[in-house]
Amino acid sequence: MNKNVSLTSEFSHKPVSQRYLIWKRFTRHRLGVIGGAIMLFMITIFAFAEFVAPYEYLVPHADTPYVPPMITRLHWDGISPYVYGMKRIQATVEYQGRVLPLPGVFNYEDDLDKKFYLGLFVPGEEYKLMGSFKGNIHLFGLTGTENLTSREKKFVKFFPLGTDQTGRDLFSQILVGGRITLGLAPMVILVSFLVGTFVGGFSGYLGGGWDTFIQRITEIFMSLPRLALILTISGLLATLINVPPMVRFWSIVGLLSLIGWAPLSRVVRGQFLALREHEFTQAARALGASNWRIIFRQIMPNIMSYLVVAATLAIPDIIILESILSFLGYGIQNPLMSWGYLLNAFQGQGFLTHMQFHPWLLIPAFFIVISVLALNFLGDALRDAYDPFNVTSGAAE
Amino acid sequence: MLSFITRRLLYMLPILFIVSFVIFLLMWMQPGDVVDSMCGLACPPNLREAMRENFGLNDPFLIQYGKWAYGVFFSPTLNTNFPFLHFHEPDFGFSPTRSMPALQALLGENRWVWTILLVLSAIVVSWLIAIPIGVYSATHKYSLADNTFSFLGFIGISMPNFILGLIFIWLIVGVFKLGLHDDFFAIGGILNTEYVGEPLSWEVVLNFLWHFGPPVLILAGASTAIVIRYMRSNMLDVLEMAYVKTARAKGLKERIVVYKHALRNAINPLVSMLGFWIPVMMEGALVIAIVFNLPQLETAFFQAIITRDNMIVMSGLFVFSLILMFGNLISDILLAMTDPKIRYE
Repeated sequence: MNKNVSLTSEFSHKPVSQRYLIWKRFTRHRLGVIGGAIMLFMITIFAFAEFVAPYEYLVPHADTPYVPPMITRLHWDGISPYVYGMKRIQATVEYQGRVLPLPGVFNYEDDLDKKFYLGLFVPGEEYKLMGSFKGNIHLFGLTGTENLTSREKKFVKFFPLGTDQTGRDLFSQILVGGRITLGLAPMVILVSFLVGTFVGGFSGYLGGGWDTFIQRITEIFMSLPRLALILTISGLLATLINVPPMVRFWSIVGLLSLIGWAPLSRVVRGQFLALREHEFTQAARALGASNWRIIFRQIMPNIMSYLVVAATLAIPDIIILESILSFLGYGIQNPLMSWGYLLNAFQGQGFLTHMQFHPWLLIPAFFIVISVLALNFLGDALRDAYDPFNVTSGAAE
Repeated sequence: MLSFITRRLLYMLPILFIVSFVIFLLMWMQPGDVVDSMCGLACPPNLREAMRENFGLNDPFLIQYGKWAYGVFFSPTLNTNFPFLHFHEPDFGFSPTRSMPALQALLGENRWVWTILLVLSAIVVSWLIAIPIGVYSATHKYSLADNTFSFLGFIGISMPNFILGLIFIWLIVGVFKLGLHDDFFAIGGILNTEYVGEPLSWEVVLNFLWHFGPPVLILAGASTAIVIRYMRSNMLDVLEMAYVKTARAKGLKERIVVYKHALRNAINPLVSMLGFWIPVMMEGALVIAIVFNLPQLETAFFQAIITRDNMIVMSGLFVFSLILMFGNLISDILLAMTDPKIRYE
């Protein structure tokens, strides 16, 4: 009897959808799930950057430049963390028997008289969340600073990851920069995939002379060196000063898409060429379906999963390219912020000074690596999930 | 084979022409010009006009392009001497900021040697590291070492070159403070200044390795990770093949099966990737050269972008796309040579 019941229940399983199977295969990929979780966490935090950030990211704190990360100077009173006020001391160096100040290097000491507890949901600077909701409650901040004079307040600050040259809070900059770095890449992917799919699709679907013509154009685009080309073009754009930040953002998006679409259109063309002659496409054609209908209802759904995976795997590449561009000073610029642009401090003058005395300015690099790593894991898992035959998950593409 | 290569080379020519046109168009469209950067804002109008005339900036676009392309494509001239059509050294124009021919400014001072050396040695290093690891990972599939390598590979892929370079310099300068106590361990450039022009000695060689080794290793880093993945999956595919099973069934030692039968076939696809690898490495070398301040053509190119020296930027773009196309060509040739299924008649 018992056996019988289990047998029927086994047969009475609901039919599982393709989506469910994909989800199941995805969750089996542990690193991919972790990567996805990290990305989700990052995106949530960066979406509410103004709320999470303790300070406005562009506001300089001129009295406290180059503060080392203060999370290393948290003290614990039971479970409640507190920090002391800061005392800025100019660092000196002995050179030929004379004591000289080291420009730009400061030692910060705890001012033991002033002790401030760290609290959650503390009122602070005003901000506009997502550009519309006004607020002044920050996720964390120092409490009990209300009675201080404005002079004292200058040295009672909490900079979790330190400050830069002008005393801007690095943590807040990283949060806002992450929003742009991680927001720009999907835009680029969207644009270059739209163009690439369109061009490649028509090339593959129409075939013949059009195909040859489009392929020649694609070839020319692929014969141009990617990085050198975008560096050159943004070098030209950099001469346009007083460009509105949004224009700069979108010009970077356009630049990166310019090099992204060509290889993609190649692959899409190949898929179209293969699917064009498939039985189901021929059946649709025999039924009198229009070209548009065949493209969008027959062929596109078949390469959609491929496109999703390719997009996820292309995003890390775009993030790296944007970081390189911004690092060299030709990508995102003030007043916008990106992780690569934060590393721009290590370009040119002051390189070795920063390396020796301000290594915390390298922290944005850690975020770049983590997000790229997470996206790679995610893309790998998605590829395995979408393609049941690709069990080796070895080489890319 | 020869006809295949000739055909591909001839095919490259029209593409090169169009690429040169695109490059020139790009430069021509930019706002402002080299006179602005040389003469500045307070430039007297007559001087500006004279300079513009001197650099040929007042000509119509097509004439400017024609002049440039004529020089780039070896300035062919016809005359009565055999073989009637004569070619000259390529002339990429005159760099106003460096006051020398643009190609010399880009490639001179042995810059091209360092670039080639960096890229090739990085490729060799990455293959030397990656192929044994790939073979080991494939033969010990899902072992602890395999999983570790694939995880490290993920990190290697996710680590941009310039970040690796920055972290390396931070370790040397910030953490170990090597350069602080010993001038031998200075960072940047290809040699310490005191060794430049010295006769070859152990000290000079060691110092050169100190300067040049880290960029090579860092450039090799990311590609090592990719080559490991390719090698592993190729090897896994090959190990499933019937002839490998046959070899095993014959009772051959596992060593011989893996290294004599499987490895040779698994390497083939990688060899054809070599040509494709060169442009990828060039891209990495561009960033590495800037971070480590190596005297390479990439640094000259980047410097030209900063100083807005169009002539050098144009020749740089042209040289880079030439390298890219040659990379693709090499890749096609190697593929045709290693894969008997591809016909190249």
